Amino acid sequence: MQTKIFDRFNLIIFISAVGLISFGLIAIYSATFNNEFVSGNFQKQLISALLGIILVLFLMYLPPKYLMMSSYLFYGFVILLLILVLVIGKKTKGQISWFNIGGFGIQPSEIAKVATVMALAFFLSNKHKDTDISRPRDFLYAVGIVLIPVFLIMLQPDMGTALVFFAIILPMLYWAGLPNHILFFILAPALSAICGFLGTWYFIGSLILIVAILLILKRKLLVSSVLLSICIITGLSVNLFYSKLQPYQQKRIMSMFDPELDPLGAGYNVIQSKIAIGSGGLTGKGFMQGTQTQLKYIPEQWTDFIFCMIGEEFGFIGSIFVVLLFFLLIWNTISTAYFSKNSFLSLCCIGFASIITFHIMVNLGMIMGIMPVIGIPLPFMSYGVSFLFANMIMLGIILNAYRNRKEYN
Amino acid sequence: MRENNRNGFKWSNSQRKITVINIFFILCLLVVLYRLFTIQILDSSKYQIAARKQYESKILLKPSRGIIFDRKMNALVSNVNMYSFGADPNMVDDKDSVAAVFSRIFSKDKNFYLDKLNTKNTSFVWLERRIDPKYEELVKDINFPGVIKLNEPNRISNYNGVASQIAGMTNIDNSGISGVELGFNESLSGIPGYVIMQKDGLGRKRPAVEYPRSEPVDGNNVILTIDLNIQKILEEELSYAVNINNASGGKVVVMNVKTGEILGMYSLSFDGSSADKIGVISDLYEPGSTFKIVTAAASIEENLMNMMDVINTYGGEYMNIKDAHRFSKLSFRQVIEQSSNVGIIQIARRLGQEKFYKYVRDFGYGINTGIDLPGEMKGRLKKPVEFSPVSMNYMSIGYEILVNTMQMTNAYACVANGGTLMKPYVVKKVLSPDGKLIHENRPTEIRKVISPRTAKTLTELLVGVVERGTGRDAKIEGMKIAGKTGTSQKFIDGNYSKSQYTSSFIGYFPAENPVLVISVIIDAPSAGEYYGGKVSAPVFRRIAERIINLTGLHEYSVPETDNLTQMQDESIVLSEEFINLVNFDVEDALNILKEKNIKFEIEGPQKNGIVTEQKKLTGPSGDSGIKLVTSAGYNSKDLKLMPDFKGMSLRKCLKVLSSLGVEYRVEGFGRVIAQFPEAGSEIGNNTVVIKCERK
Repeated sequence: MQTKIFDRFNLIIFISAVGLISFGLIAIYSATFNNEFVSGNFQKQLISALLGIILVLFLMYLPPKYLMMSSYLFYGFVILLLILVLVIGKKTKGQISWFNIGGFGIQPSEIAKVATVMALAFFLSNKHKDTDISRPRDFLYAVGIVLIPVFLIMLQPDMGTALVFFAIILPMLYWAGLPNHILFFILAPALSAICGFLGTWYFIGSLILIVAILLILKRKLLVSSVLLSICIITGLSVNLFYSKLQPYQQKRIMSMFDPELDPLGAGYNVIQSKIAIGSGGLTGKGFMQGTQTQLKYIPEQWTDFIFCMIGEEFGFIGSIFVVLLFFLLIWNTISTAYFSKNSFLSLCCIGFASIITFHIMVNLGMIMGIMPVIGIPLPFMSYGVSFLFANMIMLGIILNAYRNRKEYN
Repeated sequence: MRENNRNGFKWSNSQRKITVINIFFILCLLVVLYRLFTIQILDSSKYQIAARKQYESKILLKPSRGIIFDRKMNALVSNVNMYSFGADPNMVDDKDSVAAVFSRIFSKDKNFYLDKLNTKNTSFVWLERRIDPKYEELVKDINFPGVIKLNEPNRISNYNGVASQIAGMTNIDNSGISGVELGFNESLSGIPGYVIMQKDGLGRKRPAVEYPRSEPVDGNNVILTIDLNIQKILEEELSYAVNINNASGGKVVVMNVKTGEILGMYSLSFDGSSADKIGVISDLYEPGSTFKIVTAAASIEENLMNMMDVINTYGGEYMNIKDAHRFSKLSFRQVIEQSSNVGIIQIARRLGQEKFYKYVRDFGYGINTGIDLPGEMKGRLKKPVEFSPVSMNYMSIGYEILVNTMQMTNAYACVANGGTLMKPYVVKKVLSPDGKLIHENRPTEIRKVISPRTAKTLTELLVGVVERGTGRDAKIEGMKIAGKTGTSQKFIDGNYSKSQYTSSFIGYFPAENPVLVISVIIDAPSAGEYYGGKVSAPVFRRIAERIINLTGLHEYSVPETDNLTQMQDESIVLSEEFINLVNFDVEDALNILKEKNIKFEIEGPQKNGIVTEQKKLTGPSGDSGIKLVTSAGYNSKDLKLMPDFKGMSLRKCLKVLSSLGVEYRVEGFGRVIAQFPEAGSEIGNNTVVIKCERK
């Protein structure tokens, strides 16, 4: 009996997620304790988490076919919300990304990530239409499913969230059988663009690498040279574009990578978050004892910068523990994807694992000064009702995939 | 046929794909872990410092600055509390009305305050510092959020600023900038305490409970060797002399020849230099004839001269150097008495350059006297190799050498002291706020320059100067005085002036057993007389007379057999005026009495108490002693009950107040007629107010 329960319920994934949520609640409590304006955030998050767990259990026990059937519906609903938010949404900090329903701020772009993964997974796993991703038409369909929400989100404009969608499409297409060379054809121009921005030697290095891989892949000469030309053009145009910018615009872009360039402006948050995390040391300063957290050096740290509190008050040990929880969660999600006989759920797992990994990488990279500051929250931990619910939907579907991993769709 | 798996999508190489995905995922996590490790472990200390720097802000708690007393415990410089106003621009809501109120009270432009209140990126600006007490009533009710009223202790010179030149000045931050205030700044300042405030990301401060608060340690009290009364005489007499001689300035010093203690010194200068400059140690001049004692002393010590030896004075003119009164031949005694330049030069030539130089150096010229005051200039003494063929001629009569008045005084003190050069000093003791001895300057011998016999002979010659020679105007009935006049041409713009002189007289008394040396230097007298014997000797006489009339000399004269310092201490204890053990810790008081072998009785506890009263006892056999009334439970630090000061002299009152370590303010002079708080009530944090009136 005992084994039967755990055969259907992945305790590690569940416990990891609950652990992360709890850590998040602790961090939000500490970060908002002395701030009268946001002291309600802890309760809001707590209630959301409890409601979220009911949602998780509901999704977990839902027969997979309902999930599959509702994928496009859900997707369509989210697209509607994304259009609606542009019309009636509230403008904060130059972005129209959320609107208010009954006291709760709803941010459709967070839900859209989940819906897009589900729609894409449904499209890629559709037996009846015999989808083949290496076929150009199906490939374009797949890309289209992702680009519609991306386009709407870029109108808000919220570039950070839009980027997440690009991060999910590649692993899912790869998982669905996208041939290596097509994958490479997508990645190569992006690589040369980044290296073109970083400098001449990086750019030349990237071109050499691309040529080498092209030689290994042994595609047609015409195709290869077209790709190489595209790479050179993107790389050069990025450089040209950058040099045409006004100095202050260049400075803003550079300070995304090097916060010290603008310590009181764009770089302020990163410098402060590094100080907070770094001053935590090995064991941290203790719960509610973090000077940087308690003294509000990091603006709005209960959202994107929530990890600062963990790093400062619980130190390296606390940070490692959080990373370990993420590792367990994602590792088991990927395993579930591997073992799942349901291709829809399997693809969902890969998509969700990609979303979570990308979020962790960008969020932690940002607060530790190795990624530009773009508004990407930390899954399960950052304050935000929509974001937490999006995470809970993902968790429910992952657990569903595990529960039904032995059944074909 | 495409190779479809059971799911309908390419599954054939999923093992490889899952490995690729997992590797990619692990790589991502490793980057995060590596970065965490560098920031939290490797660079942690760097970020900890950055954090601390950012959030901690220390607020200093100012200690009360030590009081400067004269040798008889008169507070020359003490503290009064003054109000200052500061503001935190971030916290002031209604800047306009704050500025309006201040501008109305202090009659300044409103924008003056508005500019301050609109200062960016600071959490503190001064609005008004050390406001005049006359405004106190008006500012009493000022109460705006963000405006801070601060008590700032301010230095105040008592006794109309007597000795303020030696005591020196402090800047607006209560830090010494001249004189004893500067020289003993560290000791007087005390140790500031601090509260660590936490500063948050929005620039607001709040006290951090978990940090210890460090209480300030009040500054030590400094007791000078200066005697208030003597200093007062010096200041009056010098001002008078400079005035009637229409001089450009002057210097006077009184020193105890046995100990090197400076009992008073004062300098005046109307050449535009600041009034707090201690000219006695910082002004250099060519001394002229007063310097002749060096040659005289050397020749006696080297057995080259006897009093009656006759010297060829070449009719009063030798190698372009002329005497004021021309003789063809003079005895050694007459050379000194008549201050013959030619005669002294002849004697110096017998000495030779090397020996001459050795004596000049041994008398302390060309080096600092070592006085415990900042700003001494050591002057200029040529080495024999730098001598021109005529250098020694000129040096022997006090030219081609730059000295300060302290060096001159000390050289005479050396002769008066039987040939032993002492180190001059102005600080007698440094006492902690609760009366413990921190540091005591004891008389320090620098070197024996000449033998007592030589010193005695030279003293006899110098007595002759006053009795029969150039210094007759210094003569006092009933007191044998040894001294020497000097009149040197001032060196102005590369030439020796024919109209500007430095007129000096340095002398000591009583000649039989010298106690005090007094130097009088008058710069550029222009009211007719310019000879040292005519200008400075009378000033010397008046000063000496007044000092003798003041207390007599017994206070300073020391039986030769006795230990010098001990006598000094006893003079304090035995003279009724300054035995004052009131407010001493009982243990300290007992130690002092035991050390001095004074009989005493104690009423009250013998430990952990404070002396509250002191009575004189006369025993059955006529021997005297002291009765101390002590009171238990508190030491002077904790004594917060207000004593009854009414009818007390202000001096005594201040003494008690300063030992209590409370802030106080004095209105008027004379005897205390009113006090706040009332006697017996708790002082708490109140500023004690004392009202005095002259009877």
